[in-house]
Amino acid sequence: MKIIVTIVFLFSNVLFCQDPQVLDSLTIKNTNTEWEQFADYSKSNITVNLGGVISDYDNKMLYKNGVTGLIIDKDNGNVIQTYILKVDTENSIDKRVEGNWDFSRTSLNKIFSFDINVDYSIKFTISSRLNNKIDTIFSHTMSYQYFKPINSPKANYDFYNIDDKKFIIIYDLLTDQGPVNSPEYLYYLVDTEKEIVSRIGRYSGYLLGSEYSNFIVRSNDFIFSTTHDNFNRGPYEDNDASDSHEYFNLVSDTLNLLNYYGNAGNLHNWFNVILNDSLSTIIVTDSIKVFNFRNKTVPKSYFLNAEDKVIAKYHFEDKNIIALIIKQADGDKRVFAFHYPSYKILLDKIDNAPYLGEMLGELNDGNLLTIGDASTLYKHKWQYDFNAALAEFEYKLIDDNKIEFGDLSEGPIKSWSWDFGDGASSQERNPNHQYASSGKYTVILTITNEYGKVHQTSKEIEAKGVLKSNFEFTLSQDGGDKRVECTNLSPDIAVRYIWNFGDGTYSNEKNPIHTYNFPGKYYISLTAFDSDGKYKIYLKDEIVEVVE
Amino acid sequence: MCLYSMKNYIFAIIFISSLNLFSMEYDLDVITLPYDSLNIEDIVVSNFTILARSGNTIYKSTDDGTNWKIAFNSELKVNQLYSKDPHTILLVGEKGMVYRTMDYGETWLDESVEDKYDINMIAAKDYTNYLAIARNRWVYYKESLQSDWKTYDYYTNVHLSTLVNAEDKYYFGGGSNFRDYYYRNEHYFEFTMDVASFNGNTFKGFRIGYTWGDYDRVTKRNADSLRLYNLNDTLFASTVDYNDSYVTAGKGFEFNYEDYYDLFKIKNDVVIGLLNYSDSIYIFSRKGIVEIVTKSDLSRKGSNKESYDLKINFVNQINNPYSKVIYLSSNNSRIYKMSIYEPVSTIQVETNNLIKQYNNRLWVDNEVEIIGIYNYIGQKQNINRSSNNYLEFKQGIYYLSYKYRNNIYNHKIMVN
Repeated sequence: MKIIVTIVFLFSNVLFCQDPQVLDSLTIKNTNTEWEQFADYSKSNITVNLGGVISDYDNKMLYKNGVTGLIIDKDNGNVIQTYILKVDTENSIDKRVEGNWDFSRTSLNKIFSFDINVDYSIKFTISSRLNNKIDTIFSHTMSYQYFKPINSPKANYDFYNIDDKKFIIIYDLLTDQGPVNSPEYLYYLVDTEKEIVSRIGRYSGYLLGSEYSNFIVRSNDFIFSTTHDNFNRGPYEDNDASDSHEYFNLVSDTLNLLNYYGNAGNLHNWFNVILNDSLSTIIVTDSIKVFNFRNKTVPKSYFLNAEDKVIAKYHFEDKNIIALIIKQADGDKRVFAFHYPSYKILLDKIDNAPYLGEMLGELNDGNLLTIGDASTLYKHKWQYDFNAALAEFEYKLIDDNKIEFGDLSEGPIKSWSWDFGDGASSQERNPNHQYASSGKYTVILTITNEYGKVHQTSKEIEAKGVLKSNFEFTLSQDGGDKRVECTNLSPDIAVRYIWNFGDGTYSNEKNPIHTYNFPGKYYISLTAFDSDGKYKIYLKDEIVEVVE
Repeated sequence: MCLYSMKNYIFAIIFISSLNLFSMEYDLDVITLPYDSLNIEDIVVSNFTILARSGNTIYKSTDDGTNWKIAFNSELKVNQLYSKDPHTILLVGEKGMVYRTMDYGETWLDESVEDKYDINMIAAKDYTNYLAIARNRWVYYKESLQSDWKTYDYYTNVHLSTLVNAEDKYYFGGGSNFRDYYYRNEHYFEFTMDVASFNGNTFKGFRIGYTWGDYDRVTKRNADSLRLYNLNDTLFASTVDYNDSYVTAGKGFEFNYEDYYDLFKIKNDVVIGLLNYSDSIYIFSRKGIVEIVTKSDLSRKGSNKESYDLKINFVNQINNPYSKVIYLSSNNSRIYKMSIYEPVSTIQVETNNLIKQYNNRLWVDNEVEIIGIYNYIGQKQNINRSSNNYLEFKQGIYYLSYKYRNNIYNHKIMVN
């Protein structure tokens, strides 16, 4: 019998108070950016740490990385200001410093900071700074019942604002749940206007406390993508016993787990991009996978060498193209690009240009701002042209006068138009078409790519009958034995047969008669071969029962 | 090619359990292939036709092992001869090899996977739908006879070596997985045998023998050789830990919590096959031991069990083509055919099978008191219980009167 431990996590003693603190330690300084011009790019005097989060605000970008934030002018790529948060670790024990502040989604002047203290209760405070005025806008205390954190107060936490009123707090800690101490992480939604703190998710495993922890918020549609080392997800099926990427959306203050992708290999968290409302890309050990988090499938994998590392991504959202900068084991940089609706590889080339690195965004003049070699800020134009369109297709006869077509076109193809030569058409990428009669037809495929380029190709195909296997049989009693007379209904295209009577015997006759003399229940199958050696197998769903 | 066969002896033993929950009678025939020193790894049996694999060669007999011939000699290394039913006999091996035979080894149809990785194992849901595993990550799935192989990348840290279809899914796994990591400056260790399931669309996973914690607790685990089984469409698993085998029907047993889970331990042996007859599980071991335990006793570590030594010493695989006839592949060019006698009828006494009829013999448990045995016209018969609890009958109709737990019952017995 399995022991199921149910833990009820309640919190009470909600307190609200006004107690300004924390943001006194935030410093802002103006920054002078200088650019050195080269033929294909510009190199700045600014060095930037990799692995931050970029956000757009009006005509500015914020690059927030740990305790540092850079305000960047989108007209020229200049870093205008640097924000540095000095964390007070005296009062807040073992906090995850890089996650405890964020900007308002509407104003760079409005900064929120979050402070937590985990003991046998969780106390947190959210403060804001607007126009140099510091104010605590929310404070809350949760106490535990029936739930004891282990090695508390060593919880890790992170903090994201959704809008000016709502925040998500996430933290993980060890809990005592019986046989083993179990790590788990929790999501809370804080609504400062309604003064509500509600738990919107609780999951087992480490999130923030692990080496590859990550939590990405896509605020426009409230899809959250997480990555963590799933050390202790439990042994039961329906849990994926592995590291995982998890996908949530927030609807009506409820965090819904859309899906997750798990794999026994390591998941590398820092390349985790939501491409559209159903696709993301993830890296598993030595593969780049396009993952559909709506139906939990991996429609495409691109393999790397095991020692290669993806160091940067360029996401051309309007063209549905992802370009990756891969640092190979030999030191070379490789540019790998694919069009994710069609999964076509558009580019795979060695390029050691110094500016190729983590992309921060596109400037108003079309230049791309990147953190290139030596963690230096570069701006450059994208050098590669993806505007290819070359129509090509294959086809296969799958049933009588029925053809399966397969697209083989090159380029970031956006739409397909098929003319089957009999007056019918299709806009599918890989359609099947049933012709009314046998004969030769001219099929035309017209494609259009993401840039509007059109190309066309045509082929003559033949619709005809296909090999099939089919039969009937009649039963009669022959003394104590059962006698089966088989009638072959396969078309004339079949030239050879294997009858399997299910009792260890077979026949190659066209219409065999077989006698069963051993008790049991048997099925009969017929394998029919054409002159090319192709075959079709048919097993009749009718039992021949021989009793003692 | 007809050489010779040797049904050299019939080995019949009657064991009567002291607990009287089980008793098994069986014959054991030995079938010796007329080739030197074959280690017979896989066998497929359909009535009197036997296919046996040793290395890359398939041997065939159509008369229950009397005459043999070489049916197929593969140039590629063969890893498994598999059979779901007589219409689904498959051969897999190196370089994506998947062959299928519809005529019991006379013709091999090429259904190989285009990827040229070596295929470790294959399993089928039915004659149209099968799945193969390669190395430590590649999963090939053929959804229907018409469909092409689909390739899935399901990376694991272990060599995939066991695969079964059960509960409308494919389950696969292999060796054990150990890792350590630091969390808040403390060093943790983890041991698992990961099992994946695939339902035709998505993969899921669970862990067998999961152990987590500090070094001493985790590193003492040594489990390996995971095997998965389908018993009446329920997934069972066995694994070996420090030479002992564990059998479980629970998907989540943990070594440290044996008492909590459906877990059965066999000392110093390796489980190679399981069979399910009514409410009993027959566990076959590498050393030729058959342990019989009721399903309900798995969770009590098999407190009520019977053990039979077949004196075979080495078993590779079992095949149960019909009824209670079991073929066991072995080394030294041998296959053993085990025929278990089944009771003609069982008289339910308070839900326990305390009276069983074997044609003209009746076995009666010690707890049952025989009051009288009468013929069809009511004459009392002088039939006594032997020392091994059997009563011998002549042909006829009898009425049995017996007492169990202070209640008196009557039962009609027909002996043909």
